[in-house]
Amino acid sequence: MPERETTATIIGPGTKIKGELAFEGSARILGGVDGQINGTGELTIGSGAVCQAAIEADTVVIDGTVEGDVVARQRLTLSSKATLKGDITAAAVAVAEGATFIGHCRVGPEALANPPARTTTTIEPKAKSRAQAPEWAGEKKTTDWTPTPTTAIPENAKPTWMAGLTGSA
Amino acid sequence: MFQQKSEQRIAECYHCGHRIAMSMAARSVTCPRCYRGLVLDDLIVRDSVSGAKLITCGRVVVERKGRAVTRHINARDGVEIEGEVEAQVSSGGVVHVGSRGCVRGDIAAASLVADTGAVIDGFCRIGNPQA
Repeated sequence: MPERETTATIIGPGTKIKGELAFEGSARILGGVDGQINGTGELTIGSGAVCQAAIEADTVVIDGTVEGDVVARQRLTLSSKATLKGDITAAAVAVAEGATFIGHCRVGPEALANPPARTTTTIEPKAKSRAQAPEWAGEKKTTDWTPTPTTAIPENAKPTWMAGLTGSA
Repeated sequence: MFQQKSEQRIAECYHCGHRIAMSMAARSVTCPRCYRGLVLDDLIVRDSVSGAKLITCGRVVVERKGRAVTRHINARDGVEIEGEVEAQVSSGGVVHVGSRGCVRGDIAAASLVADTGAVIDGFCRIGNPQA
C-alpha cells in the first residue's frame, strides 16, 4: 500500500469541535468548528461545513459557511457556494460568482506585513489590593473629609423676614 | 412573421435596474422606464482621472498607469483594475484586481478576483448577501 505524502486532518460531517484546532500539512473540515483554526498548509472548508472561527492558514479554500476573520498567507478561494462573514487578510483572493462575502478586505503584501491585531481578551484574577503608586509620584495626599454636623431645624421655625408679619390676610 | 434580430445586446439600467434590449452598435440609450440616459461604452482609464463618478453599462478598465480617484465607479459588466483606484466600486459582474492593481475603497460586486500582489483595502460585499 503506498504511503501518503502528507497527513490530512479531516473533520467529518456531523463532527463539531469547540476550541482551537491546529494542523500541519492539509486539513479538510466537513463538520463544524467553533473557536480558532491555525495551521500551515491548505485548509479546506467543505460544502455543508459551518465554522464560527478565526482562521489562519497558508491557503484557505472555502466551500461552506464561515463566520469569522480569515488570514490566508498565500491564497484565499471562495467557491460558488461559499459564504463568508468576516474580515479577510490575504496575499491573493479569488471569489467565484455565486459566493457571498461580507466584510473588510485587506489583500496584498502590505496587508500581510501589517496584519490586523487580533482582539483577545485576557482574563486575570482580580488583584486583592490596588497597585502601589510609583516612587516618583510620592505619597498620595488625601484629606479626610467629614461632613459638618447640621443642626436640626425646629418644626415651627420661621425665617427672620417673617418675624415682622403678624395677623392673617 | 416577426423575426428577432440575432445581434442584440441586453443591458441593465444602472439607475432603475430595468433590462433593455438594443442593437450591438448602440453606444448610448435612454431607459424606457426611468427616461434617463445610459452610457453603454467601456470606459478605459489610461491616465489620471478624478471626478464624481464613472458609470457605464459596459466595463471600466483601469490600465497599469491609470489612476482613478472618484467617488463612485459603477460598471454593470465588470471592472478590471491594473492601476490605482480610490473609489467606491460596484459592479454586476466580476471585479478583477490585477497583480499591480490597487483599490482603496468599498467593493460591491457579484464576484471578485484579486491576483497575487494586488492590494485591496476596503469593505467588500460580494455575491448576493440576501441569500
